[in-house]
Amino acid sequence: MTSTLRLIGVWLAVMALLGLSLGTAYLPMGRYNSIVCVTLAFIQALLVWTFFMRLRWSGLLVRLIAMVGLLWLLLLLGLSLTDYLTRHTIAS
Amino acid sequence: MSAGAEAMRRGASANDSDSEVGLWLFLASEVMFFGLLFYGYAITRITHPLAFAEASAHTDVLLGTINCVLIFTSSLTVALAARCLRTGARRASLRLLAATWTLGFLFLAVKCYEYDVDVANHLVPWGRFAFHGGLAAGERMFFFMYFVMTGAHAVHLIVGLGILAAMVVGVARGRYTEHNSEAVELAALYWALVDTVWIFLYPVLYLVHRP
Amino acid sequence: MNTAVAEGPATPAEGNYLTNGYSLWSWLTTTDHKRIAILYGLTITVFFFMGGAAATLMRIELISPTPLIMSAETYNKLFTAHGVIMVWFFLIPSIPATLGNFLLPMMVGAKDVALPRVNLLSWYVFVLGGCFVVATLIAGGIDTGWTLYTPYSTRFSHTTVVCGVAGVFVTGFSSIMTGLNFIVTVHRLRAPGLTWFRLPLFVWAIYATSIILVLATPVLAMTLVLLAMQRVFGIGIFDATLGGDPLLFQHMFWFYSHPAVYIMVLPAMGVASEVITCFARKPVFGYRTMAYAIAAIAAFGFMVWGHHMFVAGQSLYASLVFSFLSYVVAIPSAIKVFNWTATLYKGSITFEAPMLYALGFVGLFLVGGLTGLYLASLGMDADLSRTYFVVAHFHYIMVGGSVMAYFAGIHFWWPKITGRLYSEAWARLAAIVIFVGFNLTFFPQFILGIDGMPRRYFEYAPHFQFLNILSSAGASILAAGYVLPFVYLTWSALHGAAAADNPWGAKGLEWQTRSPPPVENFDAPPRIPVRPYDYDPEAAERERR
Repeated sequence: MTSTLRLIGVWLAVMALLGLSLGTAYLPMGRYNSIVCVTLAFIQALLVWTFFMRLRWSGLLVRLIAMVGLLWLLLLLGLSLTDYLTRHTIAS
Repeated sequence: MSAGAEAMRRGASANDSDSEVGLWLFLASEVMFFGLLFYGYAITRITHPLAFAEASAHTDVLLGTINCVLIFTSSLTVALAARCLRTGARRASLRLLAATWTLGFLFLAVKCYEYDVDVANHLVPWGRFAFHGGLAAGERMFFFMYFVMTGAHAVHLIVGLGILAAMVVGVARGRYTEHNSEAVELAALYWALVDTVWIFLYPVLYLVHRP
Repeated sequence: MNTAVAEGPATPAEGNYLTNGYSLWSWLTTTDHKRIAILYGLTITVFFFMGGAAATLMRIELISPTPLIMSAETYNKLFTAHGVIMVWFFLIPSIPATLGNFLLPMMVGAKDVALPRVNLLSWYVFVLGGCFVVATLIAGGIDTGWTLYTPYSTRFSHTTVVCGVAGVFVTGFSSIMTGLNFIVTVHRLRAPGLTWFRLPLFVWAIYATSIILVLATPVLAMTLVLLAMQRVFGIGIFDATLGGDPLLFQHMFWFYSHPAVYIMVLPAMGVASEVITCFARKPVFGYRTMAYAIAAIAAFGFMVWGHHMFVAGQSLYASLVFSFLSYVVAIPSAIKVFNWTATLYKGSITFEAPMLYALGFVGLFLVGGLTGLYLASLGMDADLSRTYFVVAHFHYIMVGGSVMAYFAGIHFWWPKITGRLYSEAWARLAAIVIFVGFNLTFFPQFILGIDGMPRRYFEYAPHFQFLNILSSAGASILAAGYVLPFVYLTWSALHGAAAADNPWGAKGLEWQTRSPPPVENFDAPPRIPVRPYDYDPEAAERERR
């Protein structure tokens, strides 16, 4: 597969995931709607980063740098949730 | 890219230049910039789930989806443009860069139109706001984050348009060639980040509650 | 030991980075990391005295429990100005942007940083941010505290909050650019043979600091944007009356601001390792452990921010998690203190000014760190939070720690940077005056805190007065101590005796080149040591006798 075809293939995959995202948003899945569409977004981002941003062919340093932002955000969110999920709110 | 060159790039960090490492570090900082906004959104949504669901249903999912198509395609064209320049196809690269710029500009145009409609529908949580009642506070916060996040994204996109324009001029004038393609590669990386932010903005703003 | 004074004329015959153009334009358009370091150094000195002036006025006011020379509003503006200026415009750039900029490329054997024009841009952005701050001060200053807590900063303060916040926002980009540059430099420009575990600990420290700069600063920037938007438009996610959460601001703010204190302390630790090894003539004890400890501090430093919010309304479970993690982050810091002490053991110790400052750093950082453990304990923090105990704790770390280390570094590398020697007698006197003045200023504040005196209070209960007077007296001594280096270092820059290439007999690549260094740092490729800190204390002792 040439490089151009590969890139177009990735684009098609991203579009398909977009369609899936939009489609499943109309299915009544309750709280799983959010989980599904954010997961699909992660897969789209992974495709863009791996192929459009060429992480597939980058060295370890660049890959680590690419991952670190996400990891740090998960840290921020995760530790904050120890607060927000354990608060007792007073009903007004 | 040839199999040999590809093999050389694989796992060889010596092949990533100083500027590329620097740009990736900048992208990491951009992830933290936008990440903070997503974090604020996430926490506020966790504490106001119903209001966010209700408010999100009032975003224009058609325009949002059109923007997805525009920006995802522009991400393809800029990646192709960088590849073409690397392999010496200068004219193709120029056309692809121009196509990227056009798609980005169309995105912005759609966004402006969308903002216009939002203002007309009193979705701006400042002054006369469309929602009253029990969930209004949360709905205000949803739209506050909506405008801040899409606004920050738009600012980054406008900067990206400036960078792409500079790339178009540079390639046209022969400043960036197959032997000096780094600037275009870095511009493509930046543009892909602008795309990535939108990849996540779309579901959290438009698809919260559609049934 | 080498003689310190070079023979021959006071100015070197060959060119160096200082003689490479004398015009103001050559300085303002330089991409030489050494000149940019000096630009930063001069700029932060101006800010240091501005922040110090604010502190002086505050300590004068606090001599009396009732209003003395100012109103309550002015007092609030002074402690805000003091915090904003000292944190963002002095401490954060101090060691990284001044000493780090000058030394990092040399320590890795490179000609310059990886991105020299980005380096110059970072200084201009810093100055632009500073202009906003000056404008804010001229407009009367802000009174929210440097911590900018909502809803006071978004809703109730009548001061120019947006202007002040804009200054901090702009300066943040300077930090990000500097950090980015240093990371690329350390990864990509190391001389052949200079592996990670042959690098000086100063480089490790600057590298870890740079990671924090790149990852934490953007978070602050966007937090300030949200704050400004809330203030301007009256809508947002921090206002409780609008359904928002003021504590969310604090989560966002402290996610940056706690790692920020490690931005201030890690480089100081790097300086301490360089100075202590040199003046004990001994390799650092446990080099790898020291390096891993630096990495651990940087990583765990991101996980403890909630300890600033124990009494702010955070849930108990979150507070327990953050308390536990705060104890964890103390462990690598303690390991470093043990290792510096072990480095001194059986060393051949001399007490030049840099060593006095470095030893002061270790002792005062220890006190600051231990008192931090009191604050990390939930039960104690319930009483000590928002009292002078906290003020004393962080001043022991930031002033007793970071500022002393900064002075240690300035004195240690002064001959290298300027090619001149400073007056050792005056320098030692200043170090002692600063040490005495510092302790007299801040130790009483621990007691005041335990006794219950609240912080940021303009008036206080009369029974606190005696300790406040002691503290203010200490502050006057400390101020005199800080003026001394300003005088004798300026004198040295203009009239000091010429320095040899390596007046201290120190190891490290920067000492293999001339003082001051040539524009491209080395005349010939430097010799890479097999081991860092290759000192021999027994040989040094024999030589001394």
